[in-house]
Amino acid sequence: MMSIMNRYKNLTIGVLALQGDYEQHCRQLEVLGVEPVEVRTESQFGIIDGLIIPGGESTTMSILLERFGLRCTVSDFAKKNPVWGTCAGMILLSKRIADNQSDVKPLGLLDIDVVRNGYGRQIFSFEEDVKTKLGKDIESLPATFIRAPKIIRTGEGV
Amino acid sequence: MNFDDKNHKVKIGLAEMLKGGVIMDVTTPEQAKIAEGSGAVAVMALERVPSDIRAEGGVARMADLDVIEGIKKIVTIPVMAKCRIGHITEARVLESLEIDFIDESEVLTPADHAHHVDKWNYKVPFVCGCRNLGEALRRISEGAAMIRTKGEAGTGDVSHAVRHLREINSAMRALTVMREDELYSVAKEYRVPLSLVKIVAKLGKLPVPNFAAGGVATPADAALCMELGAEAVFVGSGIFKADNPVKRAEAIVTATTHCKDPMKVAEASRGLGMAMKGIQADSIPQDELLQTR
Repeated sequence: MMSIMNRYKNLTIGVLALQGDYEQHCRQLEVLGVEPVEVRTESQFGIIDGLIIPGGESTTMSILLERFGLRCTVSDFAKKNPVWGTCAGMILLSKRIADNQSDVKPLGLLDIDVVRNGYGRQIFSFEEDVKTKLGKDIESLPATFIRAPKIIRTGEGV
Repeated sequence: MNFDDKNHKVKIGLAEMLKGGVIMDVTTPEQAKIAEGSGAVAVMALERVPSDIRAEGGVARMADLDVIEGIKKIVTIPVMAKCRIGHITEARVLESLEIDFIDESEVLTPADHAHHVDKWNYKVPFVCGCRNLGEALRRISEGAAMIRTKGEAGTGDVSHAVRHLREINSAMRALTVMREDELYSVAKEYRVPLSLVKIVAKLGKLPVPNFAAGGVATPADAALCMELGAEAVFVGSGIFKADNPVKRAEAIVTATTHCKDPMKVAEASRGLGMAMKGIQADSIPQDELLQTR
């Protein structure tokens, strides 16, 4: 753990802070010894080494990316830097939103198709341990599905 | 009262997802569509906006179920709805409609003057209003997954929301420096479990998200609430009682995201036309206040 923390010590990671659970992502980065930055403007992309798009409402985030002129900024940033999407963030990264009835435009950075609220509305939200192949010692992780999206297709190499 | 309960954690989780956003009161599917397009994180379905309830009087109840269904169909963001304080059945009906959040609200005419809904027994999360920390903790001990200030709804006067935010936050700061034996008296004074008081004393904040509501009418009002520690903002009459609801809704969302950037709040505040006319909250007779319900 210590070696991981040293490796990431000098990184500055941005968390897109238009809306959503960006604060919790920032706190978790701090725990890992990484400096978080709440990102709301284009100029901030110059000082970060990676970007996390957090959970929240994908419709809202998509509208705000457009309104604040950040859509291209995120796409350009992703060409050279790592970008992570949690929940709504994953929806925004996807190629296609299968249930799209409104004007949410995904960024198309990750070759997956998603269905929003794939497990149903809030009363069907749940927490469950899921199996993972992330690490040798980690076989399962607690996962929370809150009006969560479902991935219905993954492209090659995803 | 179990905050580690999985069901309760996913209720609080939805409230967490709404942070930094604006939740807008709507009375029709058309208004809901406008709210969603402006960047609202959720809509609140109700029969009449608070300023109309105030002006027209009469009994205010849960919204028409066909209207709620219409709103659910037309937007993809979460749909909330209000039930009367203590109206167990309105709450169950809204839950059966798969509403995403219930507001047990003082804006509607209370159904029970002694009891609130036992919110632990529902799959659907609840938000409740409060004026001070004691009231907030009583609602949380009943199972509320989100707290909002009451302010004085339907006035367009933000001063009471400001008062409630300041009261809650300063009372929480006081708890963090108290001796353990002092926490017992606080629990007694607030009429809440000691364990809950201890949680707040340790965290320095509520164990559920804390939003602002009541009298927000301008982008600057919304940004002010955020500056004072609110984690998101509810806007009731402020949008659809203004000259240009579309522009105002967008501006309030922008100002909430950029609450710490006065230039952005200024930019968002331009060219909106008149805000709702409003009424000074302090000019309302005590027995006509909604917040004391």
